[in-house]
Formats: sequence, structure tokens, C-alpha cells
Amino acid sequence: MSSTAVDVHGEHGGRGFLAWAARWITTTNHKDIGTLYLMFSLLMLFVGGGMAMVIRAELFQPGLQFVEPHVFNQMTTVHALIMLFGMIMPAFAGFANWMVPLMIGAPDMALPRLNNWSFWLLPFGTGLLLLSMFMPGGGPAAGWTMYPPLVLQTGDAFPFMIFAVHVLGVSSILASINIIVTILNMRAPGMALLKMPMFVWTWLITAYLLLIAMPVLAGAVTMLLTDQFFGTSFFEAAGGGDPVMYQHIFWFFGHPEVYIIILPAFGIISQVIPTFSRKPLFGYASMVYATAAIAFLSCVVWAHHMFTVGMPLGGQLFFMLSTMIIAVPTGVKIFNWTATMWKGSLTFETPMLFALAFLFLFTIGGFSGLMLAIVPADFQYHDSYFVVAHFHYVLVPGALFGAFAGAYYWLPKMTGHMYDEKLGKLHFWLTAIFTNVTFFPQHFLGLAGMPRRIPDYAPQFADFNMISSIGAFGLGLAQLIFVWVVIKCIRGGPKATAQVWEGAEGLEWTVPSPAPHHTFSTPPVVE
Amino acid sequence: MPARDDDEARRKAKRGAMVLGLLALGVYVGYILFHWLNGA
Repeated sequence: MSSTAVDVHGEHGGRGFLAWAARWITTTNHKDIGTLYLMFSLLMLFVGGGMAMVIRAELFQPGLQFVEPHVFNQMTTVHALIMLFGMIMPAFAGFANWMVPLMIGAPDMALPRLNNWSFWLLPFGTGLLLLSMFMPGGGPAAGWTMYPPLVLQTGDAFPFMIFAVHVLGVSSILASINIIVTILNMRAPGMALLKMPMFVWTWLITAYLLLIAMPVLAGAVTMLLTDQFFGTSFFEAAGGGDPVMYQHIFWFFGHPEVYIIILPAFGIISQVIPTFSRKPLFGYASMVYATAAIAFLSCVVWAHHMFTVGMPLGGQLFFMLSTMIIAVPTGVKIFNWTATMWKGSLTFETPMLFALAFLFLFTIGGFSGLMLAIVPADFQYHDSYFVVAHFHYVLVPGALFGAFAGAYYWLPKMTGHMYDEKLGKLHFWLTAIFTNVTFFPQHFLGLAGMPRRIPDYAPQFADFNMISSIGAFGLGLAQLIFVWVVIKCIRGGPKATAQVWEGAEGLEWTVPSPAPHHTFSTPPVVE
Repeated sequence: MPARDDDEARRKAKRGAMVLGLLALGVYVGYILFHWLNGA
């Protein structure tokens, strides 16, 4: 046993608040850090969700009701940044911290102190971003894409927003480096790459994507900073620069970011569906190759976000076709998940329900993505509520449902107790129904011509907006059930066995529930 | 089955992390320099 792998923190750290705080602040244990990520992510779900409630309250009916337009713009901007960088990415990082070492038979992450630092940068970056909303001139309000020249009109919050994005980026980069080197160096003997669980594979590929994409975002926002304060004109036409260049650089980060968010969800779904179908995953190798293909393609499609800025016909054709080609490996995945269930012995516990809803609803988001990829059609859809509906179908029933599936699937392993299945199912049904009530009408609003990012709208859009807002309030309230399920599960409940789920396979199910503070100090034998 | 040497694995991991960190830093600086040299 390596001396560097010995963790002196944990349950032996003493009593009292200071000992408790010291344990969580200085912990280098992958399970502790995973828990920190997951708890932080849950908190941010409600912070970002609260902003969504303000947006939907304002849009409940035409006219200006609750907030000033400038505040509304801050809500849309910060809601997006918080949900992406503060909620969904940390949620999957939490699952990676908890599960990757367990799944590959490692005693911990390869670089535990770096792991601690990766997490603790996160609340500082997110806090900085949130606090910038209280500065003179208000918070960031130019959209999460931070397009110049509009973003340069941000008040005193501007450099703080840039610094927050840098800090969040550094946190992600360090975490992804740690995940890559853990997977490549710390696997149990016999755990060949093509024997790894799909969740580990999707995270390995995601971590490489993060490593490519995040420094590009950092470069883009650094150039914004120097344009604003140091006299450069990267994006200023008057100085020989080009604002459209920012959009190219941003989306070179932005599109891989979409897959950074969805690939770990694919990984969770690939664990959950075989378990509750009591069959091995259909087409394992093709799933790995499809994930790699999606990751590669995600780096060559960025300009489909900016067809309307004007580009040569050859560029339009390239980005349209390369975008459509992503449907092929994604289709392979959907086919394989469906084939896994074919003639399986299915049961429908909460993780499986979320996985099934993912399968249907994410596909809707995928198809509306194909519609948006068609250049002439995109000229009509661009910057409309159709786009809002599309990416929320990808991110909510896609990424968030994937995270919920993972949470219910692994909660018994983390806490040692079974969660309340009735409450879990209630949470699922309310979430699934209200997600559709919220986001499906937004397709119709977009097709009818309602632009995105506006606090007021023409009266003909009133009915669908009201339905969408009612759905959003229901969706927000339904998440309180999830909090209750988690608290209840931590506090007690029926004892979970090591195996937890009858059909579950993998090293994580060979350790007791709850997983002890230290696992696999002696490497397991992988057949 | 060969036993796993955690110390050796972590040494390799540290080397790998440094290479990947430099790669990320290179992309960051390279991107800005590329656009700088293109006349910004």
C-alpha cells in the first residue's frame, strides 16, 4: 500500500464543528470530494433554478411585471452560466469522483490533493460570479455566450465575470487531468481499457474534450479582457479586429461543451439500462467507438451556431453536413440501449424510469437539433424560442435526467440505505410531466416567431408562455421532493446490500454499502 | 496476475498530468498568440 494513498482524514478526525469543517475542507478522499461536488451541484440546481423561476414569472404574461429588462437579462445570463458550470458539470464530476476509482478498482484518484483543489476552486468561482450581480452596473447580462461588443458594456462586474470563468475553467481542467491519469494509470490488474464500464469510458473521453475546449474559452475571455482594458482590438472592428472571430472561438469551446455535458449522462444511462434489463450492454465496443466519434465530430461543427452571421456556401455545407453526421453515432447509441432492453427482464425502478424518459425525450432534443442544422431552416429558427426548446430538451431530459438516474442508482451505494421508491417515482413522474409542459410549448412559440432573451412579447404568444411558466413552477417545486428523498436516504431507511440491484455488475457492487472510506487498498482481481 | 504498484502508478500519473497541463496551457497561450500575430 502506497504511503501517498493513506488518507488521515475521514471518520477519525475528531469531534466538533472545527474538526467537521477541517475534514471536509482538507479531505483528499475521492468519496468525500465526490459528495462535496454532488452537494454543491444540488445547491446550485436551486440557485440557477430560482433564476429560471424569475424568468418564467416575468414571461407568465405579456408586459413587464416583476423585474426590469436589465435584471431579466442578468437572470438569463447567470442562470445559464450557473446551470452549466455550477450545477450539471459538477454533478457529473461528483459521480466521476465517487465511481471511477470504484469501477476501475483503484484506491483513490491518482492525484488526491489536486482533486481537493479542483473542487474548492469551484465555490470560489461560482461565488465570484454570483456576487458580481451586486456590483455597480449590475451583473453579466449579455448572455452566457458573452458576445462582444455587447458584453463590453457590462459594468464593474465585467472583469469579475472573466475571472470567475477562468477559475471555473481551471477547476474543470484540473479535474479532467486527474480523471485521465487515474483511468490510465490506476486500473486494477486485468482491467483492460475495453473491459472498463461505459461510465468510465465516457468520462475518459469527456475529460479529453474538456482539456481541448476549456483553454480555448479561457483564451477567448482573456482576449475580451485585453480588448476592454489593455488597448488590444482582437474583436473590435475599428481597430482591425473582428467580433465574428469571437463567435468562432467561443463556439469552438461551446459545442464540445454540449458533449462534455451529455457524454457522462450517456455513460450513466449505459450503466442503468443493462442493470434493470438484466442483460449486458448491447454492442459495448460500438458504444465506445460511437462515444469517441461523437467527441471528435463535436470539435468540427461549431459554426452551426452562427449560420446567420454570414459565411461562404462551402462553410455552410460543411458545418451543416458534419452536424448531421453526429446523428449516426448517436443513433448507434440509441439503437444499442433499445437493443439492450429487447427481451430483457425489465423492472422499472426510479433510475430506470429516468433512463427511459432520457431515451425518449433526449431524442426529441436530438431531432430538433437536426432541424436547426439545416442552414435555410436555421435562418428562420435562429435566436427564437425554438432554439431554447431544443437545448433545454437536450440539457434537462438529457443531462439532468441522466444525473437523476445516476443519483437514484448510486444513492444506496453512497449512503448504505435504500431511497424511498414511492417518493422517487413521484419525483420522476412530476419531473417528466412538468419538463414537457415547460419546454414543449416553447417549440410552438419559436416557430411562431417569438425571439429568445426578451422580457416582454407580443400578445399572440401569451397562451403558450403561460403554459410554459406553469410547467416551470411545477418543475421547480417537484425538485424539492428530490431533496427530501436524499435527506431521508442519508438519515435512514432499509439497509442496502452490497449488490443493491439484482442485475448490477461491476466492481463498485462488490464493496459493502455504504462504500467504506477506503476501498481497493488491495487491488481486486479482474477476470 | 501482477500486483499493482501504487507508488509507481502515481509517479506515472504525475508525469502524465504535467504533460496534459502543459498541453492545456499551450492551447490557451497558443490561441491568444495566434490571433495576436494575425494582427489584433
